Amino acid sequence: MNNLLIQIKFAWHNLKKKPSFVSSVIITMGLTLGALLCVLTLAYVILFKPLPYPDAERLFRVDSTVNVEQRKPLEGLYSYPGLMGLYQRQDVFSTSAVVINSNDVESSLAHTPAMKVSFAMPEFFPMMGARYAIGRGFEQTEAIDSFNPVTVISYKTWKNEFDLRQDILSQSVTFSGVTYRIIGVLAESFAEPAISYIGYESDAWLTWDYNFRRDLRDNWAALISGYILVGKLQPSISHQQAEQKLSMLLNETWQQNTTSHPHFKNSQTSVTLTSLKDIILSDSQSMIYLLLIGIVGLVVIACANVTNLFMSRTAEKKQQLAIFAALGAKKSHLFTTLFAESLLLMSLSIMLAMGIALGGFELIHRFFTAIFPRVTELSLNGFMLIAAIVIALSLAFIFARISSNMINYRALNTALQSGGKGTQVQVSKRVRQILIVSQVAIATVLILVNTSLFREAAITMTQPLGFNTENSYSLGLSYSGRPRPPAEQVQPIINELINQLAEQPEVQMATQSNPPFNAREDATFTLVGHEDPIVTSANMIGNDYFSLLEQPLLQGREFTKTDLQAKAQVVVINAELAAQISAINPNTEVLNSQIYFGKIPITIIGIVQNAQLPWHKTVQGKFNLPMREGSTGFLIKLHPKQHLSRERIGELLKKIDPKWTVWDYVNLHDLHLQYLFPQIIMASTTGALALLTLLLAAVGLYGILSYSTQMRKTEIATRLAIGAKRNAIFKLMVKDNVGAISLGIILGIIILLGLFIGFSEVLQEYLSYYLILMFAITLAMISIVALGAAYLPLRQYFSKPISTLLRGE
Amino acid sequence: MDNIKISMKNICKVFETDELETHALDQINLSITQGDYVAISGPSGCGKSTLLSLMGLLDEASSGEYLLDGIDVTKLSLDHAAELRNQKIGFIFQSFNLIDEMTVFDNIALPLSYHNKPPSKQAITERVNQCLALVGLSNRSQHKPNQLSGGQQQRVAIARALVANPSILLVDEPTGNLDSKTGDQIMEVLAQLNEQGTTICMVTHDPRYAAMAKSRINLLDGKIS
Repeated sequence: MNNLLIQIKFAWHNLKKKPSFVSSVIITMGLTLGALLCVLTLAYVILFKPLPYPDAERLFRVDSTVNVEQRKPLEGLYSYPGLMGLYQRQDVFSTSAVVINSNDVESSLAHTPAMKVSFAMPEFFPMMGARYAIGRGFEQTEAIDSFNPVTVISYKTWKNEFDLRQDILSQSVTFSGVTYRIIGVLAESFAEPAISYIGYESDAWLTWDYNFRRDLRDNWAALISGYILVGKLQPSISHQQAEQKLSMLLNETWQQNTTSHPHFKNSQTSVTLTSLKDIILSDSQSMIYLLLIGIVGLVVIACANVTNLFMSRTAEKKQQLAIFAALGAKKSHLFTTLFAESLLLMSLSIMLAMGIALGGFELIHRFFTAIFPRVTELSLNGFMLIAAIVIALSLAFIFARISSNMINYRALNTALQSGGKGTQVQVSKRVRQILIVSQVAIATVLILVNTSLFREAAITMTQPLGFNTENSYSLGLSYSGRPRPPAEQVQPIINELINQLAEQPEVQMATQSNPPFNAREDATFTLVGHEDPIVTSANMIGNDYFSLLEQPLLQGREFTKTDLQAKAQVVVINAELAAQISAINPNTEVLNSQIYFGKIPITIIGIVQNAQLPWHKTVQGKFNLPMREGSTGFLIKLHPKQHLSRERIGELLKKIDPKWTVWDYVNLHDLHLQYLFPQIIMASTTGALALLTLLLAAVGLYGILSYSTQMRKTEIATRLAIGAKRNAIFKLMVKDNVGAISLGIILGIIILLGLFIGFSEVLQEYLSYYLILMFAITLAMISIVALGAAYLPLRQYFSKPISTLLRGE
Repeated sequence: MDNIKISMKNICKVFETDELETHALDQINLSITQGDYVAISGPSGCGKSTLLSLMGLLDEASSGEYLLDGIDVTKLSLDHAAELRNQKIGFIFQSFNLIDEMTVFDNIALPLSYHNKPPSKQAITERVNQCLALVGLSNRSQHKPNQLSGGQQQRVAIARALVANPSILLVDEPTGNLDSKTGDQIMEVLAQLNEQGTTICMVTHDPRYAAMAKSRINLLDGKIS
């Protein structure tokens, strides 16, 4: 140990004289190990770290399914009374709670922020082991039917909206006209379980009795989504037993209350239990593994690069090692000398890597909360520290071992006599070839996979929408009060707001409409004489919608104010859907023909040019219905270079009816970007990985070929002396390495084929002729890099007099 | 005039570093004619090897005029210099500089492969075998250099230097890495080649071998003394 410390000190001294070698190793390993540590920690948190909730393995979510004869099962839907009955009468859970998420506007704060609120029962917080920065959670005095309006706010809300003020428990918040007294603030460390969807973080928790669906408490026929029943299973009851019992319980009450309902004749309900771990893990497991494979590939390339650097360094240290041997150093002593240097370098690399990983956590917190679960739990933890130490020690050992294997200990003492020439310390051609093959193979795989994914994302990002989002905004309103007025009372307020908006000098046009990105994906209709329903996407839009968005009308007309006021049974479809209808009914003119919603006939009054929604790969059929009376969505188009603030709209609205507030007001271009977010993340991640791979492969190949050229300096000089031109030497270097590079590419293709065979179902959609193009691009990139790596080390020899090369200078 | 293979007038070579200017050669004037056997000798550091490098177009003079086989080679592009080295000069190095991975045959054939129009395979075989016979190594053509003795390796190097029928052989300390007996044998081979008409310019610090040449140039501090 003492010897190692002395050697480390000596290594530090030596390395100070080699700044380029040190920086090459530390930057290469630091960057890639940083990415590895970041993804490893993410994988650990998501896949292996126990959930931060007491008895987490016994926590389950209960999902119901309603099976109606001859219809698709209705999954994830509950009737309000059915759910309440299940919650109150179940005996399989030691504790359970119902939660529902919603969005609302906080109307007591001056800037009326939009917030994510969750209505919950008191059992929820103790079940999740919640701790509080201040105050407490819900108690039995706030249980169901207590009508006690109190709230527990998140730490983030306390910080952002109340500046962490200490008298927070004397404050209140107001949502939809109900004022909730703040009774507690959740601890900063509380990780809200992603029981509804990944990345959902409630800003405020409200008592259950004020949930917005309570008006359905006696309605068995209204099935609605979004309810979450979670419970902690009794230790004595198995998962299957619980499912059976709960299914029976729910079905019993369901049957009793829906037998007379025509829609639910002979229907049955059942429940499934899914563990909290599986819900939270969702389908992120495969994504994590893919990311891990990508990063490990990068680390392998980086290790190959650094192995080469270490080997060159050992060759350079030959004289020094020979002196040690002459003074009596055994092979093990020489290993310690090499290990000290690699340990020092790996320690420095891993320190940089940890810094990079922490930076990576910040990026993940910022951009990936909707993609990966539990990212709020990412931080410097024991796992990361242990992983860092193990990685640093292992790599230090491996690099030292490879370096020491290069030393021909028996021949080492002759190095002192032969003036630095000889074979005492040399990297064999075979090792160099293996390094080239491995680098090229991994680079081929990573570059092809990443460029293919990048292309997919880039196509979606750059495809034209088919309508103009410039200067256009989507506006949504929220009502502060209970109950919300009926549609016929809301509509005059909406009309007045449209009039007032139209009078603003900044506004070119305003209409009552959903934004173009609002689309129901599973709307169905039928055609006359055809029973099979056509499934397509649908939206509800206002008059002048297509004019506002500059989406060209191909035939017919768009909706008028009269259509909306008269609740006309009309529809405007896109060209794609018109083509589909034409294919089914070739002899019928699509315009002015009728389609059926159930038994209601609706006339097609217009055909509009196709628009491409960001989440669809190809154009889908779409129909547009007139906006319903009382719907509170608007589209506003401003004159070029004009700005209309949210506050200004809020003021207009306040004058019309102070109970209405602006819920959201967003530029359509920004909204488009929000929808493109997964593609942007995909494109930036894959693009960065492809570039990094190419860069690392370039640096690695350069290093290996540079070393190889160095070893052949005398040969190159001799060839030049006897009349070889520069071109001939370049060709020689290419020829000598083309075998290894080709072998690397072939190995890469084999790995890719293996991947395609192994994951054919997942990768099916990526198989296309474009893959050949991407492969050609990948080959071109690798070839350019390889040619560059072969040429650059030769440049120094071409610029020096051959006589100096022959002297070995 | 036609017989002059090398003509140097006022050749100077200055090595410059940031702090230092070293005059390796100063106002060298010499000419070597067809069939000459010239020995350049002098103490270590006198500029012998530098002069040989300039003659062999391995380096450029700082000033002066140099005619090789009547061609002004004072300023040449790198590729043109390579072409002239290939056609007109045969090198023999102290440390042989054979390529270990190639057979004796391939080593000797190497300069022919760098011709602008490489000869046919048959012509190469004939010429290489001729040269091998000339140095007495016909039975070693498929050996690798490291399977040969030092003397044999230097003979291979001589064969390689001769293979392209150069105008002049430039020989740099040919016996420096050999024992005296083998050295004598190599010198014998060179003498025979010269007798057969090959022009030779040799650098040596050994007065005994210098005496075997027909004419001698003594260098001292970069000047002909």
